[in-house]
Amino acid sequence: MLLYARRRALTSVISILGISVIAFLLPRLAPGDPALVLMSDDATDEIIEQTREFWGLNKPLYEQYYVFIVRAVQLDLGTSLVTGRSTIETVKDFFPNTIKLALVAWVWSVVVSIPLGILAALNRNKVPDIVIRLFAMLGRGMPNFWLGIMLILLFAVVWNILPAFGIGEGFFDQAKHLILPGFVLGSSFMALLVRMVRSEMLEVLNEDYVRTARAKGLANRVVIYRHALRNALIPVVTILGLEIGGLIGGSIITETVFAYPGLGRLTVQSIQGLDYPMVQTLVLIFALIYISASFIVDMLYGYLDPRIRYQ
Amino acid sequence: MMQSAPPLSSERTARSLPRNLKRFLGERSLLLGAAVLITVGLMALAAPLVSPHDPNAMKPSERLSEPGFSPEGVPPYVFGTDFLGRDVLSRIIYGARVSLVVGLFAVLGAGSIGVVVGAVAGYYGKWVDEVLMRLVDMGLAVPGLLLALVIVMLLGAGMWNVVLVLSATGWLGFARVTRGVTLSVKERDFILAARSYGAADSRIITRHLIPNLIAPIIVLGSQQLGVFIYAESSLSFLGLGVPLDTPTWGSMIAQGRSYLDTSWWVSTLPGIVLTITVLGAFYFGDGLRDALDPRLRR
Repeated sequence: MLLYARRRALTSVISILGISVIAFLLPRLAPGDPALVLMSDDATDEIIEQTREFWGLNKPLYEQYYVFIVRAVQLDLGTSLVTGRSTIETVKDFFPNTIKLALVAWVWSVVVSIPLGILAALNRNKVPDIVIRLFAMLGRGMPNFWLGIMLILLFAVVWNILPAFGIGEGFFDQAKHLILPGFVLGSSFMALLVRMVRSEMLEVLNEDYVRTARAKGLANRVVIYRHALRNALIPVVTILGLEIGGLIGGSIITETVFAYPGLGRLTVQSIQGLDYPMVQTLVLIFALIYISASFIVDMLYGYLDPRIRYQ
Repeated sequence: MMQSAPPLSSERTARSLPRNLKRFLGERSLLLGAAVLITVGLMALAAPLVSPHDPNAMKPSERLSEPGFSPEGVPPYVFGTDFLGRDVLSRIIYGARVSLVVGLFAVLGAGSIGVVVGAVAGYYGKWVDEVLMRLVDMGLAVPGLLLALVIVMLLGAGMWNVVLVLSATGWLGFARVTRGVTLSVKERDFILAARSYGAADSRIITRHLIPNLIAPIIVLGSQQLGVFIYAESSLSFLGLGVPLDTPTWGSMIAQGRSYLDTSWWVSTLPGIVLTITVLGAFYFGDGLRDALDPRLRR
């Protein structure tokens, strides 16, 4: 297990370094002098000179990369061109909002999809299965931004029972503001999970050990929950973790639709505003979240299924 | 296609064709998906013929007219008009062009990159495989949309830039599938046989590897078509895709957002067409997969 963990940790570090090269190159690939790209238009010559100094832009490229990595480790990646504040501080402000949203989305999709997937598998090709599959298909094919707008139209404009924009104040108001964006963000994940739980269940229900359990005369419930479901869920666990990254990526669209102040909306605004220092930081943060999530999941997976460790 | 088949195999093809055709026609989701894609395709091709209005003609006096509004002397606005008085139906019809062109070319672009990288990695193995697959892992370590947005930031918006961006971010899946198939084919006896009679790499690749790759790549490609159409509309929705003067479903939905309280149709109708198209591509891909490999059917 330790060897496996070490090998996985090494590949994670390599991935992060690779992404850091992309983030590093970004302002240098943009048209124009990187010192100007990394500074706002109205910067004085003195400030531009300071920027050049800060990032070591007069040095060779590999030394510039070294400077960049040292700054990243020291959590000092410059200031946002739009807000004029430290990019790391800005991320810190928006981060909790995105985590809250992703958590709501994750929880509702998991809670809903596992029972639905089981129900569909147990009623294969009957009415519940057909309805659930249609539901899952819609969740997969409906663009998140459009689904969001439709829900705003129904719940905020027509019925006026839920807020459409922003984040709210106080616990209950905040919770109300999370319902629509949380639902939208989780919808495609829910669709994926339902299909996965259903197909894994169908597969497992045909296995010999399930037949043995039935032959022993065990109650149907015991067979389904103790023998079938446990095995069906192993691959689902991987997706649960991997999709944390997917949810955070999905937050880019969902937060923009609902004007929700999180990392996703910040990303879109920074890209629209050509705020390179901010985008650099965001690319690193997103990659870091995603890579650590998949590392943790792989460890969990290796623990749950010993076959993986020895590959 | 049939005429070009070599004479030796034509007999076999002729015999197996009705059976194959039956297998494809028996796949309901394949037919449904194909019907949707063909309809959207015809709509895109015949856009100037079938759209009742010029998609960019503005009539401020008729702005935000309800669906079915029919002033005298012009064809009725079946789907209503938007905030500039442009016909929503005509813009949806023209929007199909962007969606399909971007989707198809992105599949071609991403598919070519992915197949080459995956085949090279799987076929040559060792460090080549290690390096290329680490690259794929790295690409998968950032949300695809974020990567796409970052590239748009560097390149600027535009239809062909969107194709480029989607190819550059979408090839990873193709590479993985191709590598997997290559690895499994490489171990098969017929490759060993080919090697033993001295077949060159190029011959093994074109004669044995590629035929085995066709089915999985076509299936993945048709599923990715839906994904790319979806992605293009997302980028255009964010205002970072195809420029606003070209009608696209994503930008129509974005523009209608400000008029939700009075004019529901502006965002709703293009979204319905977009959803049906994306689902059509998914159904088509899933159906194709089931028809080509019934073992995968669940």
